Order: sequence, then C-alpha cells, then structure tokens
Amino acid sequence: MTSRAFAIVLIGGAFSLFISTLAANVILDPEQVFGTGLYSHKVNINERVRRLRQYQQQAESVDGLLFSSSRGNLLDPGLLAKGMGLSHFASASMSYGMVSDYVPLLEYIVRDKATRPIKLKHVFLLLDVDFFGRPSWTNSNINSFLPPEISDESAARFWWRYLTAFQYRLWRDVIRADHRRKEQARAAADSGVVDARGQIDPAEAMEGVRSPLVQQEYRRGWNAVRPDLDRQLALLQRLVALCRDNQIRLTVAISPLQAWNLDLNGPAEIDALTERLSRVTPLFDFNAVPFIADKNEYWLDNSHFDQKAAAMMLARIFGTGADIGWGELRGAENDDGRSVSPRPTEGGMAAPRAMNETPLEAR
Amino acid sequence: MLFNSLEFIFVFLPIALAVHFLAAGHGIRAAATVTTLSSLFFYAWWKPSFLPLPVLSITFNFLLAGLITRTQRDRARWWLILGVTANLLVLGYFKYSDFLLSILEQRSPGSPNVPLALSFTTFVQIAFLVECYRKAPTTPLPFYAMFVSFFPHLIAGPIVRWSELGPQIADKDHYRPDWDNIAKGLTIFCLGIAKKVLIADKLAVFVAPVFDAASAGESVSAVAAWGGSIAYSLQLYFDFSGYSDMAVGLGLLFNFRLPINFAAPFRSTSIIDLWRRWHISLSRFLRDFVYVPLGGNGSGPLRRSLNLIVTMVVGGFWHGANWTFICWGAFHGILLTANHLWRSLRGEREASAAGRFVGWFLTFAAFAVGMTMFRSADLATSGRLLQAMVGFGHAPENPPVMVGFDFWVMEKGFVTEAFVRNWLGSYWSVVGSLATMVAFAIAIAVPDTMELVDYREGEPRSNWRRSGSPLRWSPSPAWALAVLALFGVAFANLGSFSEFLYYQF
Repeated sequence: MTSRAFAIVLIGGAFSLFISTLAANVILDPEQVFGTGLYSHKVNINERVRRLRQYQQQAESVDGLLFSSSRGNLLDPGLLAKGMGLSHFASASMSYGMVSDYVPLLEYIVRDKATRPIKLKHVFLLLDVDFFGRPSWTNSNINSFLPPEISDESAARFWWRYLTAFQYRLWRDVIRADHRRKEQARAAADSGVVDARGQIDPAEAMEGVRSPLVQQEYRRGWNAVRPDLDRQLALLQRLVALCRDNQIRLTVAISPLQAWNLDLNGPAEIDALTERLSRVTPLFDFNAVPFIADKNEYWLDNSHFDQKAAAMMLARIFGTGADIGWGELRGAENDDGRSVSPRPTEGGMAAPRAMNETPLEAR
Repeated sequence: MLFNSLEFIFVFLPIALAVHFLAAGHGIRAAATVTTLSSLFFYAWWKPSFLPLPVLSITFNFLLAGLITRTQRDRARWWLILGVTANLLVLGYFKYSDFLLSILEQRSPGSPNVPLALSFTTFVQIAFLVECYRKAPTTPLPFYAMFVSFFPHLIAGPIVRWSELGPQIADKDHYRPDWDNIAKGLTIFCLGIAKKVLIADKLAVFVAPVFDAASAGESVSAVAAWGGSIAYSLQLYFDFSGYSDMAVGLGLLFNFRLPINFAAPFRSTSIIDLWRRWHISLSRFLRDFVYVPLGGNGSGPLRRSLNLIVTMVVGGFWHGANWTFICWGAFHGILLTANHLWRSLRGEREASAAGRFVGWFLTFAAFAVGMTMFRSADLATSGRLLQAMVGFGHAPENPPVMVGFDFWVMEKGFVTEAFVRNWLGSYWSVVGSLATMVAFAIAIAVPDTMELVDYREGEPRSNWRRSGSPLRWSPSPAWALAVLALFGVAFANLGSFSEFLYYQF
C-alpha cells in the first residue's frame, strides 16, 4: 500500500464517519432540535427547545405559563387554566427544569409579549426544593442546552453541537422506538387493544432506591452541599421581579417529595430551604405536612407524583376542592401587597381551608 | 480550539492545510503568512481579547532580534538582556503577580487568568533571542511569526528551537505535501487522540474524587492516596504525551518535523533518565537556559546539587504560581541530586536486571509521590495525601463506599462490600484500580507512538528505544484499518468537552 493510498483511506474513513454522524443526527433528530419529521418518536428530547418552539407557535394567544420540572407534567393544563381564569395556558415543564431555565425563557417571553395584543397574565411556578441550589442541569447535557434565542450562545455553536454529537445509542433507540410504535399501532388497529408495554410499574420503579447501597451513594453524592444556592435564589428573585414589573400574577408551589427523598435530604433541611424560598415569594408548601410522602398510590415512580396528587394540589391552591390540610401557604406575611402573591382571584385561588374537609380523591 | 474537537479536526485543520499549500504556490512567504493567520485564528478561538498579546509579543521580539543580530556584540548583549527581561516581565505579570502579591498581603491567591500559550511562547522566544545572540540567524517576519505561532506547537509545546524548525520554514521543499509524512502524521495524530480520549480522560473520573476529598479536608485511605497519585501520573502522561503526539502528527501534515516530547518515560530506571524522557523540550530548555548558565556540573558536586535544585524549582514554578509546584520542583531537584550522588558512589558499572527493576520501581514511585504535590490544590492537600500514603491517614471507621463505580462488582460478588469499605474507602474504587492497572500496563508494555512509527526528531539523550517490535508501523492495509478503528472509537468519545491538562500551564 502506498503512503498516498494509506492517507486517503484514513482521511476518507474519518470524513465518512463524520458525515454519517451529521446525517444520522439530522434524520433521526433524537433531541428534536432540527424539526425533522422522518422519525416521529424521539427519545432524548431537548424540552427547553421544544417548549420555546411550542410557545412560538402559540405566542399570540398564550396568557398563562407553567414552569416546572418533569414533576409538573401531570398538572392538568385545563385545571390550571380554569383555576387561574385564563384562556390559553401553556406548559413549560421540562426534565430537571430549574429556575436557571425558567428565568431566561420568561425574559424572552416577556420581551416577545410586549409586541403582542394578548399579554401574559399568570405564571405558575412549581419548585423542587430537593434540587434547589444543586448544580444546575441547564446547559450541562445534550438535552438541556437552552435554545440560542434565550441563551448567550451563538446559534452556530448550538446547532453544531447537535449536528456533530456521536450518539449511537440514541440513534438506535429512536429507530427501535419508532419501529415499536408502528408495530403497536398496527396491533391496536388489528385487535382494538392498546399495548401497555413501556409503562412504568411504580413498584418496580421504586425497587432501585430501596437498596441500601444505592441510598448510601445517593446520600453521598447528593449531600447537603448546594453550591448553586445563592445564584438560584438570585434568579428566583429576578423571576419574581420580572412578574411584578410586568403585572404578571405569580403562583408558586413546592412539589411534594416522597418519604425516602425527604429522608435523604433531611426534613429539617427541606423545611429550612423552603423557608428561605418563602422569604422571596409566598408559596404553597406540599412538604410541611407530608400527606402523600409514604403513600405509594400517589406516585408514578420515586420522584414523580401522579395525576391524583396533582389534582389535589391544584384543588388546594385554587380552592376548588376540599381541603385536607395539605399544602401550607408560607411567606404570605412577607407579601408586599403587589400583584404577585397567591391570593383569591376570579379563578378561585384561596387561602388554606379547614383541615377536616374531605380529600379530593374521596369525593 | 482543541485538537480533540470536531471543529478542529473536520473544519479548521482541512482548511488550514488547504490554504497553506495553495498559498505555497504563490511563494513560501505567502504560505508562512497564511499559516500564521490560521494559527492566530486558532489562538483567538479561545479568547479573542487576548489576541493582541501574541501579535505584539511576536512583533516586539522580532524587532529586538533584528537589533541583536545587527549591532555590536557588547550592545547586542544589552538588547538580549532587555528582551529576556521583557518576556519574563510579561509572563510574571500575567502568571505570577497575584501569587507574589498574595504572599506580601498574606492572603490566598486568586484564580489565575493567564493568556493561553504564554508560558510556552515566552520560552520559545527567549530561546530564539539567545540563538540570535549566539549565532545571529536572520529571518523575515513571516517566517519568524510562523515559527512562534505555528498552531501545532503554539498552545502546549513542544518548546521548539529556531535551529530545529527555522531552517524547515525557510526551505521551499517543505511547502509541498509529502504523502509519506502525511500518512505518518495521520497515524501519529490518531494514536495521540486515542491516548488522550480513551485513556487520560477515562482515568480523570477516578483521580478527581481522591484529590477533591483531600482538598476538602477529608481523610483518604492509603490505597486511595496511592491509587489517586498513580492514576494521576498516568492521566498526565497519556494526556500530555497524547497532545504532544498530535502536535508532531499535525506538524508532519504540514511537512514540518517537530521534536518529540516524550520517550516512554515510565520505563525509566532512574530519575535522571526519566527527565531525559519526560517533557523533553522543557528539560532541554531548563538545561540550556537555567542549569548551564548557573554553572551546570562544572563546579563540583555541591554546586551541581544546588544548580539542579534551583533549575527544578524554576521548572516547577514555570508550571504555575503555587507553592505545590515549587515544592514539586524542589522534590525533583533533590531526587536528581540523590541520583547523581548514587551514580558517583556506584560508578559506571552496568546494573543487573534486579538492580534495574529496583531502579525502575523507585523511579516510578518517586514520580507518583511528586505528582501528589503537582495535582493538589494546595500544600495542605498534598500533606494530607502524603500522610495517607505512608499510613498516617485517618479514614473514618465506617466510610460510605463509591457505589457509582463498584456497585456492579459488589452486586456480582466479585469483591465484598467490607473489602471496598475497609481498603478503598469512599474515594477510590475497584474499577479505578483496574483502569489504572490497564493504563499502567499500556504505558510500560506497549511501544510508544514514536517507537511504533520510528520518528526520531529531537531524540533524547537516552537509549530508550526497544528493538524488534513486531508492531512497527508501515502504510499497510492492516495499519490503516487499525488506525481508523482507533480513531472511530476516539471519535465516538469526542462528545464530551475535555481540555488538555497542560493548557493550564
């Protein structure tokens, strides 16, 4: 083999690999950033980008927003819109969503809304106190980079990352998932029965965290250090100020935690941090009374509460259901009386109800 | 821009090569100018605001070199002193001023904000001025600018001399693509990137917990301290030698031959030999511009020892403004002194196989101990780790274990939880030990890149090459397949951002 042939084989091979990678990313689009529709099922969606695109599509009509991590996915948008008295409520829930994601997105939306007839009236913010102050997920992972419109990053750099990432497993999973979805659709069409494969069994999902070694590792890696706390508190203050300055009503709730999670973080630490957050803005605390913490029937897995719990939370916040003493309103005394506090509205947001009323799910 | 980034490999490099050889059609000065501009673009990619620094520095040193070569020797000497002083002042201002002020003000030094490549270009340009004074080379600005800024060596060396690269830059025969050099250069580049991405970066995840824990004031076990230090020694070796291989490979793509920087240093059987094979271009610089001017070994053993220690302290301080680097340099100065003393006692007799083994073992162990200082954030951290290494660490009685790495081996029953808990503690792992052993075996047993491809530019004064390796490189289909496969695996791992360790120096 001549040196020339050797070099050409290497250069050709390397560029083939590179171009194949670009092609796979554009065609399969695992993070759904290119908007390619050839494979409809995505497995590693960049929800920060998707939420912005969704907003852009309905920017004219949106008048309310939900900011939350994936824990907020089961908060019913219909109930939220109804509770807030809004006409068009959009969700900006995203995996590992944190205040570092919400503030730039809200700033973008506020700027955008300035030129539109329908303004943003209400923001619902669901905070995860167990994550608050931890290293931010924002821009730390290929499915968590903020879209260039709302970050300082150049658009070229953003797209280059998604164009060139070698993500063999995700490509494979996109193809498999797409194939399975087609098979399921075919089977459902033939038999009329929906295949439930892929749903998580809550008992199975909880199994992992019961291992003492895993709990120990979790505790070790997830210790009481919250290195980003000051910055995130400042961001929360920025979010509150943004809402206040733009006459946007803000409702804040702390998502409930499971018993094991409360234990790992320490109930006292959770309470102290919630107290600090409540000094920034009044909020509904769903951990002060751990009503569902040890009831598996309210949990999808070891982190996400289910639809029943979500409905109970909204009922508590908007005063539309019976009060069971869950969801303490904290920090109201610090409310400066401006338009950001959770106070009764046309939609029915209410102060805490009596403890002896019937739980929502028992009705 | 990093050598191990996709934008470098698939965009910048092909364009830089194409414009270099296209411009060469219009003359070698045009090619040198174009490649200088490419190199400055490469530099500015990191932080555009620092770009004026190399531009001004190159211009200043070029003008000064002209004065040195054109004036009488007595006057030239003063121009040389001015040039060396100015270069050191710039380096000192950016790299050491805060450290020195922190000593005076008795506070902790802040985070350094050193312009990229400054340490390396300072030494390259000082060496050039001295060469101008001694041999009076004359060169046009485009050649000098390319000599200093040539991007393969710009950021982290090798620290090239004008006598090595200058004649090549001035020779028009070097401005034509040479397929033999391109084939070899691509091979060296791919082996270098594999060292960096597949070995050094993999070890980093095991090293960090040990040093971070010690830095946070936590106790680590003796096994963890040794494991962390050995793993870091290997990480640094594969990282920096990988980078140096890539630099040499890139040089060959342009048809320029850069000197080698590493020669299988972990096979050294003495610390003297190790320093002839580790960061060779820095060792040469320190020898020629610090050790020899101090008097070298010509003034008796006591003076030689002092010169060695001072030289190594300077070398340590060059790495960074921190007491840890100063102590690391002093430690190596003492080791070299001890090694010279041993040699003078023992004479020139050939060592036995057992003697060579003991020498090798002590050399590697001493190097790993030194790396504890080199990697530590401060002296207190080094102290904690060194205490642990000699068995004075105070590991907690029932430490949590590093489940993230060892869960699988414990779950499968390959090791017991008690073993991990008692011997490794919270910051070291079975998996980390295995990864370190594999990297160690590669460093010792597998022929070095420069051995494989028989590249000998800047060969060290050491009989380091093994003869008769069956793996010797040739442009064959088997090698093409192997190199391509290695590049493919490295390519698949390029997604995560990882800087070269020597960028920080």
